Amino acid sequence: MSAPTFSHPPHGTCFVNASRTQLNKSIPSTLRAPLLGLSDWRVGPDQLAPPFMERRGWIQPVCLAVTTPEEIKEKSSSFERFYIPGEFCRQGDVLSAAADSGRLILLERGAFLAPNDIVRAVEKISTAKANLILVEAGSSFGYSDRVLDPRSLEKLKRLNCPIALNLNALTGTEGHSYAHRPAWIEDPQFDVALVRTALAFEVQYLILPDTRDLNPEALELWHSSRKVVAP
Amino acid sequence: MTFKHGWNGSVHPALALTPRALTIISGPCMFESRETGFEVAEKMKSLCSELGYNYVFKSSYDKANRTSGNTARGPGMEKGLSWLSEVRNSLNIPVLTDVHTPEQALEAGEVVDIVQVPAFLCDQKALLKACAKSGKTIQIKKGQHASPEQLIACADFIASEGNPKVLLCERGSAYGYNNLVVDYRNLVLMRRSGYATVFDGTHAAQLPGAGSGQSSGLRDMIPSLCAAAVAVGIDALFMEVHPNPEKALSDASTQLDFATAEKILRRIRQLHT
Repeated sequence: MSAPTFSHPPHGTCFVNASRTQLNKSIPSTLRAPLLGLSDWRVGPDQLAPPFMERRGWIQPVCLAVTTPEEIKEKSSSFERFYIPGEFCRQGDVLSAAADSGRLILLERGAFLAPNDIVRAVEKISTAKANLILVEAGSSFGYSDRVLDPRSLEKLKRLNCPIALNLNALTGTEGHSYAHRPAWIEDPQFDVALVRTALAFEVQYLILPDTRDLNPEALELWHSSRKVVAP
Repeated sequence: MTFKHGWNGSVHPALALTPRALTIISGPCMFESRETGFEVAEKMKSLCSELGYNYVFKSSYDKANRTSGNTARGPGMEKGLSWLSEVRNSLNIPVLTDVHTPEQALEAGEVVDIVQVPAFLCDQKALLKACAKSGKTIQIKKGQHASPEQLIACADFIASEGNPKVLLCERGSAYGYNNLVVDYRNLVLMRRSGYATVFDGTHAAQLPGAGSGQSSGLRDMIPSLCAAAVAVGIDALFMEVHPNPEKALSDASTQLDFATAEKILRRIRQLHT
């Protein structure tokens, strides 16, 4: 595999769900950070919104969420970035194919995976470590809830890869089907605490919520981080 | 008896799930060798027959999501499916194996009676769709991170793809790092949903990643976990059995030897209603 011809996204880049059904809802009007689209693995790449890049005037291709080795091989010529959802972070064949692709890999820690064990997923793609961004998406905390554990960010940081924080997973609606999920955990003010924590651990990228705007105060905090590069 | 969407519980010409007889899904975690598979299948078939249980043989041809990348994965698809087919035809029993991609679901579905969706992948719609298309019975394991409602929604998705033959399998929920607990309320909710309900006593006893690069587990808890599940009410019990668990190439700390498996099966006879 030839050496990659791309670089990591600029510090501060935000990722948004770029599927047709979500795109219009997922770009905050006040966003002043670089932006990249991320496909939704649950609906598949066929649902990517084609007008996305023209609308925002960027030429960077979207980041493709992948779940099988076949998909990675098939899409390697058209995408420069692959996202491995947490549910697949232990699938050896997926990780190997992603490493072999030579593309930039965003590897999400599964919500079920102890932070100490992410190192073994990284080992499975060690040949591609230079092309790796680790994604923290929270830890399972009962059904349909995730918590951000600073110890996990510390563990990821020690692996010397850039880190992204998945606010969509941490605050999303995935778990609304659980009958006993309390409403208070959806307080948008928690966005601020999550972004503060991210900044404290030198997180470089954010994945924004799918179905609502990020709390403006949290977005402003992100913008004001001296390292965020304006688009 | 019919399950949700009118499915009659038939998984094989010789077996239909029914409340009259508990079904035991059992075999070695990994299909390590043809001999190991046959040894377990013959022993468990005989034991289940003696005790009045239905029997399904289970084994994996590829452990694709091992904790560490340096451990054995199994014989591979071609050899594994060929062995599963041999077990099925020689012993006239249904067989189950797990699949990790849509392509595997269709290929394995040509051979096995039940395709199993692993817990981590329970919400992957492309995989569920392919499993539905296989036309075979599908066992979905509840993700350690997933609520029972999420699992039932996955089953509804499969049914909406035209295949109502779904088993819901409880295998424990993440409870802090490197630890699982069984929430027996889930068995009630799953059964109430109308889908056939399975309890996996082996993986419910696991301590994921707790063994320095491999999963460890609490084998001594399995008999109690299984007994409680049967008492609450299930349609099938899943447990992995190996002739020599200590030497097993995967999940060595939670596979059962024949003697313990037999003790469990004898104990739960009084509990199944």
